[in-house]
Amino acid sequence: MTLQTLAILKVLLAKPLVPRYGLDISKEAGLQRGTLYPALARLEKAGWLTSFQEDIDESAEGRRKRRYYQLTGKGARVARQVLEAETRRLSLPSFVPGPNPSAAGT
Amino acid sequence: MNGTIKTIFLLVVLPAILAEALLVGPWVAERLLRWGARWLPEESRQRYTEDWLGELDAVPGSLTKLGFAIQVLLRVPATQRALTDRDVLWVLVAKRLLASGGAGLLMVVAMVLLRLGSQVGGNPERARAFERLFRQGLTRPPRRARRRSRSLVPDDRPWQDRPEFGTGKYQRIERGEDRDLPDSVLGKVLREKWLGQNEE
Repeated sequence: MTLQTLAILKVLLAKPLVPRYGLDISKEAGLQRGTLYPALARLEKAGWLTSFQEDIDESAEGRRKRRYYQLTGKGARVARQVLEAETRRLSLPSFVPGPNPSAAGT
Repeated sequence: MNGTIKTIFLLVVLPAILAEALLVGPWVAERLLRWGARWLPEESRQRYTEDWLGELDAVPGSLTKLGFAIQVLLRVPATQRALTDRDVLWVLVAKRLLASGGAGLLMVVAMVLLRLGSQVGGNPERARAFERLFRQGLTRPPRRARRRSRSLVPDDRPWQDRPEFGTGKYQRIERGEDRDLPDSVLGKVLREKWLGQNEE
């Protein structure tokens, strides 16, 4: 899983019941806007995300409708597992450099 | 004189160009996004056009809108791959050119001409057929790679069943006229020395 996808999952998992739109997600995840849509498409195709277009009066709001994304039940469950696994993996002690034996004698 | 032209450019022309860019920025961004969505599968085009235009409205600033459109456009091949598990045509072309150089270039040029020709002729059905053919040609491994893979995989089939059957060499083997070594002076010497076959 790419770091971009992990960042998106993290943002969506922070408030799983609140639907978010693309720019909002990219801003919070610190992602470039272009990289967001392929990742969202993959997640939606896998059934981890569901999306819907907001129901507004475009002329009254003065803007076009946005698409909102939300984690599905399966998506939230798997995303939590994946994020936990990744956090464990990244905090492995092997990543911390050990004491240098040659430096001990000096 | 030269200085005057420079001053006019800096004070009049450049600000005018910038002002124009600021005015047309959102329009260009919208055009780019609509054009980018055309590369996506037919069933997703409408949806992504609406989505991206909706997001474009949330982007503040004229030049930022343009930047957003360019960023999205650059990732259209990745979006297409995510939606269909297939590469966009021009990505296939680039991969093919990198894999097989000159021969690939010739094929690509020929196919592009055929595709354009059928488009100009106003026959969309034929254009689609050419695109299918083009895609098939591009996803097929280059001839060099196919030959290499054939030689790496041992062919256990009897020679009659091999694709080469029917060539002159195998017809001669069938008639018992061909030998493993060439029929040259060196071949005769080798046959005598190694196989103990005497020609006379």
